[in-house]
Amino acid sequence: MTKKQQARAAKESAAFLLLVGGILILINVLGVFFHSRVDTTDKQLFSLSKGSLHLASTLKDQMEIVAYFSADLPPPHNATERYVRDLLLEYKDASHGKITLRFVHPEKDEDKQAAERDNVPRVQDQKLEADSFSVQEGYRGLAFHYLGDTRSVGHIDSTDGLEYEIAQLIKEMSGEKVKIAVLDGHNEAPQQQNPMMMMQQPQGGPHMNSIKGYLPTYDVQEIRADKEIPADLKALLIVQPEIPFTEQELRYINQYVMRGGSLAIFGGALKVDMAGGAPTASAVDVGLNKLLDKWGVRLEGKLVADAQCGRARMQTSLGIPLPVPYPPVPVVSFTEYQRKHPALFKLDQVGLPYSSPLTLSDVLKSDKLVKRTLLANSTKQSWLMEGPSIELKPTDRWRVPGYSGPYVMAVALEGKLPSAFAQAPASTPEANANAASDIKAPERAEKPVHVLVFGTGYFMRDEFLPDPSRGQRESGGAVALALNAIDWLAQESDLIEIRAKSVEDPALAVPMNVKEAEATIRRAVQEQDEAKADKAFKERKQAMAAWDQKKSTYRWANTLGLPILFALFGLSRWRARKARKAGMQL
Amino acid sequence: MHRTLTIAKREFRGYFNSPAAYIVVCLFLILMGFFFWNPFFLINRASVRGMYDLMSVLLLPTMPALTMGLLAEEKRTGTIEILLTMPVKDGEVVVGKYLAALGLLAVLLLCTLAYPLSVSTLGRLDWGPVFTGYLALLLEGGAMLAIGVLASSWTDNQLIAFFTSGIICFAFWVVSRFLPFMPQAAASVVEWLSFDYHYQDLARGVVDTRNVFYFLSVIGFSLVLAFRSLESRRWS
Repeated sequence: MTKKQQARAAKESAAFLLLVGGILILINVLGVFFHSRVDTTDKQLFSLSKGSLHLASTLKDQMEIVAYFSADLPPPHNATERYVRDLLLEYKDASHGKITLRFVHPEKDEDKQAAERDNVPRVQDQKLEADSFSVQEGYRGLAFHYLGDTRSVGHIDSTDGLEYEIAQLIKEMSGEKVKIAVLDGHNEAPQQQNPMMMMQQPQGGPHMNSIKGYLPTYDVQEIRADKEIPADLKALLIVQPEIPFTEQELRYINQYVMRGGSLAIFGGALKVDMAGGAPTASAVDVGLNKLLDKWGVRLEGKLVADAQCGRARMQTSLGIPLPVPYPPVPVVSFTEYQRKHPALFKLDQVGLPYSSPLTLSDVLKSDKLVKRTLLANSTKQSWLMEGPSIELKPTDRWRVPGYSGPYVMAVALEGKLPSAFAQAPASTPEANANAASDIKAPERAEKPVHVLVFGTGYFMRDEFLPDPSRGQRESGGAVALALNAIDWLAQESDLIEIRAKSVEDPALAVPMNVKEAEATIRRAVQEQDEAKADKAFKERKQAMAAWDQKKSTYRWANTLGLPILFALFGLSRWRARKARKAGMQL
Repeated sequence: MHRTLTIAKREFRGYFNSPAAYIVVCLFLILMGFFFWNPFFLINRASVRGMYDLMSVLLLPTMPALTMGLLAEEKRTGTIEILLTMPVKDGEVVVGKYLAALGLLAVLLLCTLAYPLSVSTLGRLDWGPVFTGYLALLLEGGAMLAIGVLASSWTDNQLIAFFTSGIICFAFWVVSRFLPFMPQAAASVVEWLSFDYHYQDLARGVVDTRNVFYFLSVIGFSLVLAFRSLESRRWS
């Protein structure tokens, strides 16, 4: 080959490489704009919900998320970091460059100080070392920086609900608020002392200043129902009304629901006067049953008392308050089925003070467009208190007429509800009747709506809630229930899905005989049967030994068994080749 | 294509006719088994994601070891000239040898299938990420093999080929760890270039065409370079 030919070949080769490289780069660049993605996990773990995607993609400014995770966190927190990393990467991808991520393993003092500044405190975890536990300090939190504002998820204990928490934070920081309203004009009693605890000073209005403090992502308005309710409100809350509704108001509320608004009625059949630490309750008829009857629910003017209850302070003759069981505050435990409802997400039990029972009818039983879910009920050891003035003063001697429970205390309705005033004429000949009948509403809700009915709204009122500045984590079940309920009413359904997402890999299955032995131990302890417990303990010990043996077998069979098998295959192949060669003749 | 497959079969058989394949596979399995199963019951989760992270690291020395001799040894012994005088094209030689190494990688991965099968008897295993994890390993390992073939085409010394491809693969793998120290604009590009960025997405159960295109591009470009490198002996 001449030098000229060599140079030409070299040039052609270089041009070819450039062409191939260019095509590959082009394919990859085009792939950024035209790509598809499949999440193969069972629960679509790595696909952000529509709500989160929307939040990330509509950020107006740069947001920096800093993940502080110590490098050597003990299980299960070491797996948490990976999930957090994956989740944040999803947010980053969805944000079109608006979210930047920084992963910090705080080892240097300056990183530790930065974590503390970002409200990510150092936490202590137990670590298993050989046969003992030791305490290890580390960081596992997130900080969000946006437009000069910093918020944090201080310590991540579990990945359950983390996407929801992040979504809420981003929403809070980016200022996209959901409009909801609390109905005003139906609460007359001034706020008084709660006999269980004194949380707040008396304030006016519907007494919901505390709960508003827990709802930073909501624009909570107070409205009246004497005119059309704005359709852009995601939810309307009626909390413990005491003054009757006019027909016009009820029709406006009905119209709002029929146009697709969500409604929550928290109480409305009882009025509790808590003056002087000796509360009394009396039935009130505010007229909400005119609405609810059509939807198969009725608030009764009685009070549910339960042996499973909270405690209140009883004044003794010595003047020292003594905590005693307080049946007017039933502590409701939720079943596994009930806990699946978003309004009860993560809740084991909650106190529902001064609740009326709900009576359910079958008017919508055959209506396939409406789903009714029973959310809360008292225990079998509950009873009803009734009368013109029900004494609720804390005492250590309650008159129990006999257990007659359980009673329904909360119900959720969802679907296309029928109108409560579809074709009915105005029910009273009052002056506003004609005007009321002019309030038009579709015969059925135009789109699926959410309606919650609770026998009480006192758990949402300031008297029963801690100061929101103390933080949600200190607030217990009542706040969680209220927030879950509002989220369910007002949020997009895809955000609700986030709360129910369980993201941890399933744990290894403990053998059935270990579980059976543990159940037997529990039963034996309850029955105080020492011999049975001893036998079950021995059975468990044997079962655990067998389980440990199985683990060991798996470990060594995989670690050494596989390579040995492969080596044996090589050996047999080598011997076969050798034999074949020995048999070969030239 | 027929000639390519003939070369691939010959090379693939060659791996198993020498102790090399057995040593590599057995060492790989012992290390994997030790590092995966030791903490497995302590973590107590029915997941094999940890296995993919380990494998990604172990592929770094393994893949260059499998490819270092593919062309370098032929060059050193001079058999490459005999091979290329046969009625085969340079491209067919490169692709054939690459496919043989890819076959061995597939055998290696097949051996580790015992892990998810074991885990699935101990708890409810999500098989979606298991399959995508193997796809990730095949693509990442495939990219490393292609780089290995390229490095092997540059030299007639196996050791140099091993270290050259090892360093390149390591650079692609480790670069994502230095992103916090880079300027934002550069970090995005470097991140996109890193193996780990694309690998992790697949390993957790998400198949994204961008990641697949990336690995296929690395494989394609490396093999084209190797082909040109081999061909250059005619005019250099």
